[in-house]
Amino acid sequence: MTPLALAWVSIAFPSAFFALVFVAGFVGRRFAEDEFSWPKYAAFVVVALGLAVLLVAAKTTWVFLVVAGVLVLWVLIRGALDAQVTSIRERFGFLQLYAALLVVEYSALVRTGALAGTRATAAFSLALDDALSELVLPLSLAARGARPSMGAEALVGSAVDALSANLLSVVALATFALSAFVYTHFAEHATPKVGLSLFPSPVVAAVLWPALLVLSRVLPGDGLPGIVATTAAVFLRPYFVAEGLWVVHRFAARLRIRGALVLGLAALAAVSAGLCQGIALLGLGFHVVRLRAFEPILGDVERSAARPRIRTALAVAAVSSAVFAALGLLDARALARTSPRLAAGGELCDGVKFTTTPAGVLVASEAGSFTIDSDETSLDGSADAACRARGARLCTSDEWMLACVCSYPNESVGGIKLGENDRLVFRVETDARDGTPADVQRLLSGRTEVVSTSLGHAMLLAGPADAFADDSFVDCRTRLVVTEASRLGAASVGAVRCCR
Amino acid sequence: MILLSAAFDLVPLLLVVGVALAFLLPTSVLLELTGGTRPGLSVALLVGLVATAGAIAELIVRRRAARRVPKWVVSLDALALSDAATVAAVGGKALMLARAVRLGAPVPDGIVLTTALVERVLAATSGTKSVEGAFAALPRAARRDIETFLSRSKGKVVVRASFTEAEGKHAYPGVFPAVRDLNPRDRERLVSAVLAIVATTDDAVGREYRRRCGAPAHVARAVIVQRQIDGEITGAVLSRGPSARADVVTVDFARKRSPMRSYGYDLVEGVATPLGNDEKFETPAWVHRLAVLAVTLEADLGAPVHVELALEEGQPYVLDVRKVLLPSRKTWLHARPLDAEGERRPTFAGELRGGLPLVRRVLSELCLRAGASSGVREDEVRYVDGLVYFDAEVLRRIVAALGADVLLRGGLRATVRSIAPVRRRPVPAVPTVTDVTAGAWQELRAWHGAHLLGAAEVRLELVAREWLIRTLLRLVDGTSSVATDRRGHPALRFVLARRVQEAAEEAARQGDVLGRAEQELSTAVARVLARGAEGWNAMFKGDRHLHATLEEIDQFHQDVAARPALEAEWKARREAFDARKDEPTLPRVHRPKLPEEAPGPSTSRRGTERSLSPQLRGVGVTPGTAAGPAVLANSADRGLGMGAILLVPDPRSELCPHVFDAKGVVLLSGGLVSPVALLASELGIPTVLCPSARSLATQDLTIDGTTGSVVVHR
Repeated sequence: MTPLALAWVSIAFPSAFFALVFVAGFVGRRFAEDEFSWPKYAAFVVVALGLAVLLVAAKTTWVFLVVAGVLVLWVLIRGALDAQVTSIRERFGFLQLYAALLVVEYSALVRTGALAGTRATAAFSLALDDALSELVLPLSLAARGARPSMGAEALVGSAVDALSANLLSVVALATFALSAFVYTHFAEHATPKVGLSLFPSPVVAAVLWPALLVLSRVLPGDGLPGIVATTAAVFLRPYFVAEGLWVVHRFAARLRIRGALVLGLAALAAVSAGLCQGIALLGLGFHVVRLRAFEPILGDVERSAARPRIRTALAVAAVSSAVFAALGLLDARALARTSPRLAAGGELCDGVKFTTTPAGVLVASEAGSFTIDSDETSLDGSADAACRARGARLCTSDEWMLACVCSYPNESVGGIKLGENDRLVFRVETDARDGTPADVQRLLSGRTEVVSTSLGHAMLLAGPADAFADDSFVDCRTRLVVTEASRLGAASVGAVRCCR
Repeated sequence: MILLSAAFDLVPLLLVVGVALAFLLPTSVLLELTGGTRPGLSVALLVGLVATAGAIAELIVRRRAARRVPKWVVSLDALALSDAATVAAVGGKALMLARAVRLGAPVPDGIVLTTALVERVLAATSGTKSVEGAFAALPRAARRDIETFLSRSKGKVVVRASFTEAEGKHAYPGVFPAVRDLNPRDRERLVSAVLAIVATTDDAVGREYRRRCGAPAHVARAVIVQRQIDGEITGAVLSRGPSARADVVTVDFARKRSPMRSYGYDLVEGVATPLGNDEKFETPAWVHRLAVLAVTLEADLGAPVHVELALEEGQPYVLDVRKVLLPSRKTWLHARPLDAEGERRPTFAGELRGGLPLVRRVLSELCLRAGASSGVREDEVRYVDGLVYFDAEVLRRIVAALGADVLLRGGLRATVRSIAPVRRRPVPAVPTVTDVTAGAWQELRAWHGAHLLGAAEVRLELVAREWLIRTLLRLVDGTSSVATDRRGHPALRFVLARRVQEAAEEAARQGDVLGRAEQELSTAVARVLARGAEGWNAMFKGDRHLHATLEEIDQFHQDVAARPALEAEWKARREAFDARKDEPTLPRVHRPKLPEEAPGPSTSRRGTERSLSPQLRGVGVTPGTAAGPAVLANSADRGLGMGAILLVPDPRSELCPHVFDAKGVVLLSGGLVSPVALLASELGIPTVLCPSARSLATQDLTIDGTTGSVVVHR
């Protein structure tokens, strides 16, 4: 995903979500009920469960999105109703909101193949690395010149590793934060303390969570009991993290920046499993050891500035969108330096001629000629070293693109190859083998290939991992920017194609 | 792929990414510059970076806030940090509330519309201009700030005047009534409320108040818009007791649909006692806390304070804080936290126990243990009539420091200090003086310095510490059995209770040693000195030495010429001591003396006239006497107070207009620090609190605001 796409997403999805929150708040205020009604609540649960089943069974993305939207709106409305009271309903209201949003998230992650157990899949990890690396690339290039002992890309790689290793936990934390935001937005009474006290039974949670933590360590991770224990622990952890953050917030009452401090800790906790666990244990300790006894007895009353505002959230989203867009433009310029022809349009293949030679495929054009391997080679160590060992060099990004765009007999517009069915890769590869023996093979199948290592600790990759933007076309110009660490960790990446 | 997964979590995820990168990138640059690759270094750099960024941000925020001059609108939080705000801009009430916020007191969220903005409101609505559209005519920045506050306010808001000085003799009680129950979404009502409050500066009540009290119309014209607290309990606390006594705090409160009651909270004993009646009352935890909060605020502001308060869902809120001018009254305490048994001791016995220096040292340590910044001065302890007294201001300092720590900062420090193990001191063998030699006196002096002083110090320390722990527990857990009042840590509560027991036991053990040693030493000294004095006179055949200090006895030994003078001094002391031997000891001494205090309501009859004029005893509030027919004041019979004694069943601020016309005021339920009592005090109208006068409407009364008596003339 490019920064520009991220910029669009970062404004579109929050807008859609907060529109649902706004609608739910409006409906909730209109239908606020003074007395709790079991029949109505039962109806709510039945409908919510039905929507959840539909969500899991949804065949197409659009159906999934629609059902997810309806389910979210449904629980939001219920949340808006329950948030008006201060009884046990409030706690259950928050729990059902958090659980429903997490179910939707989980379904989306599973549906898109992003999640394997509690970890991210290699493909998701790669995509995440790509997105973050592309954001960092301009900054990294600007900073280059210092000794390349530890680049920004390597840190991004570490962050991605941390996010990937704890993806479900991160998603649970983020969903909890979002639920808390929405819930405090709905709450009519004094802002509820978002933490363990919002769990229906804090004592049970304080006993259950440590037990689940132990079980998740003891039980085998691939068995059902282990998965259940791990997932349940992950589900409960945000309550304790929130409690821990609340403790920090409470005891930093004298600091004007305590809000920022807590937000910073929350963000760093997402990329640092140790910090996250530490904060959660602080929350647990606060509850178990009754450190609440040392809260200021009188001070620290509710402040209106602490109330979440949709407008502020949207402003944050808009600012981040603008930042992503700006970084995207810088990123495009940085990529253009590495691969100048990526941005070129028009008929790239005019005058390009392919000839099979013993060393590979000779690609001749008006700008010059080069010989490229007809097939990819598995890679274990350094890409440059692998080619040097064969008396060759790593193909540049532009060379790889020219071979990709011009070697297959599909119609192409610029760098985009057009197709008509969802077996495009199979078809182009078949066409390549059957019709044009001189073509370069497995450029868009097989593994993703390294095409540049000139980005410090990051590298450019080309190939199937990200080229398939849609069922109907592939784009030879798409590049992944990933860290060395991610490349080594991802099994689907690890091929090289040499040129002479 | 990311599209779907980020569908709902995008904002939090963006935050994660943004914050992480914001710290990780500079860390990486630093790492590149330093050439380090060790993980420990990365973590250290990251933590250092976060801490540095946080500290810099905190400094910048504070510095900017301190320099900020409120122009149109300023929040109470921002005002608390501002050093540039003036009374003319925001008014005294806003400044005092901001001060309370700065201290950490629970003040409802609010904003201040400055004098400049209120003038704009007046200009926008002057002449024939209507209220509609006035809000839109305000400066854009002001509208934005008001909108921001109101849009975040859930529930109703209240608009209050902040027209007066922060301190001074004019409290304007009931003159600028607040406008309540405002919908935060209704901007026009807000403008109307501001106009209504400004109009009170020139209404009949305001004019009458100014005429009678010589007060200015206003000092500022700022307005406070606050979250409305619909408290189940409302009231006020004066950080001093009735008649400005220093050992008591006055607490007025009323539950919903109940009349206001007045209580005196004894800072020594930690007990609130109903004033004006003898009903049984178990002091709730929040009374302990609010009384101590008032003392804490007084210590911070440097003057007695009047605090308006409300309790909403158990959370106390400070609605108003005002410094008050009270007559200066010094109170001397012969009480806890000293080892005060009320038994007179001659000078010698006091000296054996360490004298005033030891008392001062122990009290100073107690101050520091409680968290106070200063110890006890020499002039704050004294020895009078065989009793050791200390200034009640010392007690207030201790209570204020403890309150600031426990109530506003969590009390961790005070608790840690209190749970320290009790020091047990070995008990020395008491010497028996059998051989009276010339050096015996010096030996006894040495033994006294080595053992007896230590025992006395340990004992006094433990007694003081026991008092401190009990006070701490009262603040944390209250004294009632109501579970919701209890905030303390259960384990620490156990430890603290154990410490109290240990302290009491050890104090008793040391006390026992002390008693025996004192007796032995006294006898020995008498024998030694009598023998030494035999050549000069026989003065030591008696017990005159019991009125000598140790230094004086030293001097007696060394300087023969000084002996007559010393003897005369001791004799005078003995005579004074003996003269007061049968008088009851006074645990509290007030200077100047308090007006006569009544123990409770009673009816007494004196002579023949008494059969016609029964006298009820209450509590004097405002000195002076007044006579006239009694009129019951309520909202329906305005104007009836003219020349009458106003019987006030519930001293709400709505009843204040009646007070202007009254000759005297009788508070029937309570309200010693209510607006009615404050107004009567400012107008110099005699006022008493006398609940038993409830049935005296329409009868002729004479009230005495000094003694609290109410005489009925039939």
